[in-house]
Formats: sequence, structure tokens, C-alpha cells
Amino acid sequence: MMLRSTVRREIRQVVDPATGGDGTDRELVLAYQRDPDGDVGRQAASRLLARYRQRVLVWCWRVVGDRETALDAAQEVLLSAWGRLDEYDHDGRFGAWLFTIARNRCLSELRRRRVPLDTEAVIELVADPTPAPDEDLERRLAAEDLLGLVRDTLSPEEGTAVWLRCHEGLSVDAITRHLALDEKSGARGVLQRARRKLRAAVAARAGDEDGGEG
Amino acid sequence: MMEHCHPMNELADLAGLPTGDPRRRHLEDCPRCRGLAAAQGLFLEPGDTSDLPDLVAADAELAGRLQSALATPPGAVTRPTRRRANWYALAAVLAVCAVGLTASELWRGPGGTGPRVGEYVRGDEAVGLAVTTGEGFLRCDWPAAPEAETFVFALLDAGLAEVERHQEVRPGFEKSVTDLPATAVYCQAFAVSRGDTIARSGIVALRPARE
Ligand SMILES: [Zn+2]
Repeated sequence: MMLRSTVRREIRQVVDPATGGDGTDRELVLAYQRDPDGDVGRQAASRLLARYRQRVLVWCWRVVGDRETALDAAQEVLLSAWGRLDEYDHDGRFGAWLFTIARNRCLSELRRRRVPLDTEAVIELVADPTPAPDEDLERRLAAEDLLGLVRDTLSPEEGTAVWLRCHEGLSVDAITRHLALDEKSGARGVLQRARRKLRAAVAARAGDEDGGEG
Repeated sequence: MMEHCHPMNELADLAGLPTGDPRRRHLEDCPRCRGLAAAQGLFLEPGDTSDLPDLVAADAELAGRLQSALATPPGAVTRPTRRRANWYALAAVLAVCAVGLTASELWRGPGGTGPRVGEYVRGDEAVGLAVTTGEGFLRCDWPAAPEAETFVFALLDAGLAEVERHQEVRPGFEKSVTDLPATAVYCQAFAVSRGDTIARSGIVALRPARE
């Protein structure tokens, strides 16, 4: 009997919620912050991270694109969150805080691979692929400018698709699912339409500038 | 960034504001805030994940990795803070020396003064829990910890709560696939000696065996 109860205690330590039930995120963080080095705090943190584990993995996978890198990134994100849990100040949702960590980790992975992001990615989306780098276009599309262009030119759906692709690095598949788009053309179709509109807007703007100068 | 852009931690709550609220209007007008809110929404509610093959198994692998990284015996400290890393390394080395384990077969677990409970390691490799099927049977084998007297195989649900357990005197168990609880998704094995859990396996998905 003694043996059985010891084993049960050990297993419960691994699989059971820290606070004896499903605490809210806030309760679990507080339990950890009250007792960061004790069993209760450790189990609370463990439970909290288990709650978000798959979401972190899915995000990382959809951004970095392959299973193994995603597993490494997700592990780092969750361990980093654990290490910084005592700094979390309950301002806003825990999920939003964790998202910031996951997002930054994935974006740095894309930057490490030199995947274009932000302004560069939008330029790539808009630029005509035939002539080599369009410095003029680059100059005209400064970051601030770009958001204005997106706001004035694209529908909310197109703008969101461009953001998710160019600023978050999400796969076209994931964007299609998130925006609940028609599977046939999906986000690819929306991005192509956005590209045409943005190109036309850039060309019109260039025409205005030339006209003004001439 | 437009004027009055919202910090990330406020974005999730903005969509719920009344239509006329200026913060909500900003969200609707600003591509940055709208894009970030959509990204955060997709993180919190990933929706259909059929674009990710084998997610359940990958998630189980991640759970196992985290558990190995974070599990601690009672009394030891595990937070992965940098200032404690050297102490862990030292404690682990001392623990190994103190019990005179051979170099080829030892425990990989956190250092500290409590019982050594971690993954069982042979050479550099953790000894994995193998889940196989044959003719309607599910079989779990964990050829670790020969000094253990009993082995416990815990079937866990998606939230890692225990659904069912099997206590065995050999490092494996077999069960008819049709008898598996519907909510059982993972398996984890524990080795027990003299009433103490002395090692645990990683968490392994049962799913391939149930297809
Ligand atoms: Zn904004």
C-alpha cells in the first residue's frame, strides 16, 4: 500500500493541476509567484504552461514552417516564460504576454534565416519581379508610408492578410484558415489582389510625384 | 505606428468594446493594431490545425521535453534561471559521483538533494518508451531501470491528467485497443524501487497505435 501511495504521489506531481483544480491563468501565476521554489508554485507554473503548450507549438510551426525548428522554438518560448514568470505583472491577459514571447522568438528565427519581414516583405510583395531590386520603390515605401498605403488602398481583410504574411511570417495556409477564406484561392488569392492594388497605388503615387516635379 | 496605437496586452479586449468607442474605432482603422490583434487571435485560438501533420505526436514530444527540463524532485530548485545553472551542473556531477554510477548508464534529471527522478539514460540517449500495436493490441515497452521492482504505466488525457494506470512487474504492458479509454492520448511509464519512483519515461502519444 505504501508503495502504491508513493507512486501515486509522484504521478500526481507530474500530471495534476497545481491548485487542486483548474485555476484561472491569473490564479496559477499568483500561485507560482507566491511560492516560486516550492512544489505548489512549480506545479502551478507547470499547469499554466501545459495549458498553452500546444498553442505555442502551433504558432511556432505555422511561422517557422518545420516541425523540428518549431519544437525547439516552442520549448525555448515556454522555458523562457517560466524563467520570467516572476516578472509578469498581470497587466493584460497572460496569453497576450506569452504571445509576445512566442512572436519575438519566431521573428528572430525568420531574421536569422534572412526571410524578409516588415517593410522588406511588403516591397517584395509589391515589387515587379523582373527588374532587380527596385531602390526607388524601397525609398518610396518607408515603414510609416506603408501602413498608410495599406490603410488607404486595401480592404480590412486584405490588410490583415498582408500583415499576417509580411509582419508575422505566417504561412499562406494558416492565413487562409484564420480568415475563413474560400479554400480554392484562399489567402493566396487575397494576397494577389492586395499586390495588384498596392502596385497600382505605388505607380499612381510615382506618377503624381513625377507630374509634380515636371 | 499610428498615433494612439494600443500595446499588445490590450489588443485582445478591444474588439469587445462598444462600436462608438474611440479605442475600437482605432482598432478598425489601424492596419498595425488590426494585424496584431488578428495574429494574437490566431495564437489564442489556433482553429483547424490540419495544416500541421502529426501535431499530437509533436505536442507529446514537447510535453516530454518540458517535463525533462522542469521536473524536480521534492526539495530541489528547478527554475531555469541563469544564475543557478552552474549549481545544477555541479550538483548533478556530485550526485553521479556520490552514488558511483557507471558512465554508460545513468540518470538524467535535475540535480539537488532529493531522490533522483528523471529520464533513464543509456550512453547519451534517454531510453524511450515504445508504443506499438499488433492485431488489435496496444503494447508499451520501456526497457529501463533494471533495478526497479515494479513499473507503472499511466495513460493520460490531452491535458496530461491520468485516465488509467497499469502496475506491472515487467517493463511493459499490453492492452486490447478496444479497451483503451476514449480520452487516453498519451502514455508515461514510471519505475519503482522500494516504494519510491526512481525514474520516469518521456510522455509518448498513443495516437499512432489507435489509428
Ligand atoms: Zn494602431
